[in-house]
Amino acid sequence: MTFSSHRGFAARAMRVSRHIELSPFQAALPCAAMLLFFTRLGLAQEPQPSSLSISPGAIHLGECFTLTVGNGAEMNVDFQYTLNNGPVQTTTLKLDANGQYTICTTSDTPVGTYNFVGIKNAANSTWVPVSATITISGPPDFSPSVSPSSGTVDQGQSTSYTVSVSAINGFNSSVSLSASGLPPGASAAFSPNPVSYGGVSTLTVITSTTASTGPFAFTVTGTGGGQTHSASPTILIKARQPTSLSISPSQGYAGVDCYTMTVGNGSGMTVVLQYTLKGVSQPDWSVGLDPSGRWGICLPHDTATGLYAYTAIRNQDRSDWVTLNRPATCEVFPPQPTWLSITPASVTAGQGSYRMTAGNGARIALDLQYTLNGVPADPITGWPSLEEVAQGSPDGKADIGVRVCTPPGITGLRQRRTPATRRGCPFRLPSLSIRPPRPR
Amino acid sequence: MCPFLTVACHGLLLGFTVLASSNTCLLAQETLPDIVQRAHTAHGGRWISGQIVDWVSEGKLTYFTVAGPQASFDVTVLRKGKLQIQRIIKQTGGEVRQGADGTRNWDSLRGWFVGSAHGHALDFIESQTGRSIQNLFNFQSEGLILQDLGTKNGARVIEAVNRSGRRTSYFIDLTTSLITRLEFVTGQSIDAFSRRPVPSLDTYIFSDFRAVNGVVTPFKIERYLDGIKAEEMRFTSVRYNAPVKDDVFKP
Repeated sequence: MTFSSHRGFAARAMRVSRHIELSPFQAALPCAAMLLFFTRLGLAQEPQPSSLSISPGAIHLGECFTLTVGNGAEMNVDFQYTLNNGPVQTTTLKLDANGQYTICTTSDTPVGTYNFVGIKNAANSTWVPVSATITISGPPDFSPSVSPSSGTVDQGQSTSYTVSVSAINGFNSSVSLSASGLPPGASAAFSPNPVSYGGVSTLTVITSTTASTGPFAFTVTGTGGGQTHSASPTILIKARQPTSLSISPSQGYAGVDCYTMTVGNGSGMTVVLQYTLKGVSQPDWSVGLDPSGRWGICLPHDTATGLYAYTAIRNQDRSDWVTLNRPATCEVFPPQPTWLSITPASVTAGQGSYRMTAGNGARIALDLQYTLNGVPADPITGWPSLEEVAQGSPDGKADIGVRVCTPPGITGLRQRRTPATRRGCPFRLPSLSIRPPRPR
Repeated sequence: MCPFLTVACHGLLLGFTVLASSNTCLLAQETLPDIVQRAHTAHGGRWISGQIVDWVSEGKLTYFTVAGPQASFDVTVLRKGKLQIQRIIKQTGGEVRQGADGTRNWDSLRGWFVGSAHGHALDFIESQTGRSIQNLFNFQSEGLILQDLGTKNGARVIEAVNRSGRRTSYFIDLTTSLITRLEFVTGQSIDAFSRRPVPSLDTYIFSDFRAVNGVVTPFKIERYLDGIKAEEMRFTSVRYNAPVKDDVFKP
């Protein structure tokens, strides 16, 4: 701002308190010119102003201040001043009857410290040294900032930012905060809100397990004291990771049992798994989980036996692995037969044969417990010759001839189990009647 | 230099440094037939010449479950020539016989019998005949093609492929040159979770080697089905050129 050398400013930016739009500089010019003329001719020496005071000493833009000049009533006075210690500038003002001049600032007024160093009657040439200061600052305001400027969060998790509200020019209002532009599935909460001037608020961005993934810029807006400002942090929402893995039951029989794999935080996720079978690393394997984070399978007859140990898991959409603190294991035992049948039910010793069929019994060895004429007989151990009933069938069969020396009677099979398994499974058992050989 | 020759040389240096009397690797040019010959020598060197006509092994057979040993029975294994085999398991309720006579095979028990052996019974019979260690030693006359599967668990693995493409792996110990393991694929199972195919293996592990009439013979044979121990045979006596009559090879 200049007062004298920029007459346009005076007309534009200053208004006399009496609401005269005419610049005080403009009003003073004709008289000042005359006085200067006579002074140079050495014809007159007009009274000089004696002092200068400014009140108040500091204002914001849009406010007014008053210059009071001792012995300056109705005088055209020249003022020398600097703005922010810049070059000395001069302006001329026509004072009122009280030796005062009121200046009101506008939004265009340059802000800074104005130092008045000299005054004189515009008709004179000699300056009277003075020292008076007015500081003009911008309007009270605030500036929001967000730290960190970018955050990262997994789906279903939350992350925090610090929102700082810096007061400017004596800003002393509270600021209400809001966030916009977050992707679907993400929401924001501020604490506290509103935040006092010069204070901080914690912004927590909460994401759902289905929140959109990727990098997003969003806006944090603060409103207070008639001012609105915003900051634009970013957030990277990454696909969520599974947190745990369990398999139940821990042991099962091929062709009999079913396993359920449960993955923590795995709802609807496709996971990739690292595992070993019998201690040998297998290629990674992926599977889609249901909304409960589960996946189930009933072991078919031809399931590879041994210990499966899962050591790491990850979301298919992520490349980083979650290492399991303890491997999730399950052990698959060889098939356990589920039923047994014998046809025909009666065979003559030395003639014909019968077929024994074991459900889920293809290519397994059977242990058999049976009775002969109601009396428990010694069990058969490791009967290994059950072949597939048909190509790909889980059921096994053996066609068994009955020799002439086979003892006649009713043979009831009591129980069976496979040698490689540890438990027997009672089931409804068939009987076979061996008739004595026919006399020849 | 082909990788095989390099491995052969290193493996031999481990086990037979005494043989390497100069700084050069004397056995650097060892071929697969050489390796089999070395194993044959380690086993006594009497199989190729036909000095062994038949033999009888007697001892105990123990069945295993995943929980451990289940039941033990006396067992006798009779062998004659390349094709005749009979394993007699004296279970308390009667004998179980698994064998072959060159034209048929069987699996019988207690007067019942199965017309032909299948499954694990047939696999055992094959391990004693067409896939036997003796068959490997006579690979040339048997028309076997040898393939090098490298070194695994301290053993050189040689795969023999017969005329019909059937494959059997033999593990030759790097230190002793004895055959300590015989293994073959019996089928295919499915990974419980990934549904990828996994080969089903029948594995025989030989140990407790003792010299019988100059033949270095395993007195302990463990059988694993898909890595799960199923049987163990511990012999108390092995007799070569017993002799064994033909009529014992029947159900």
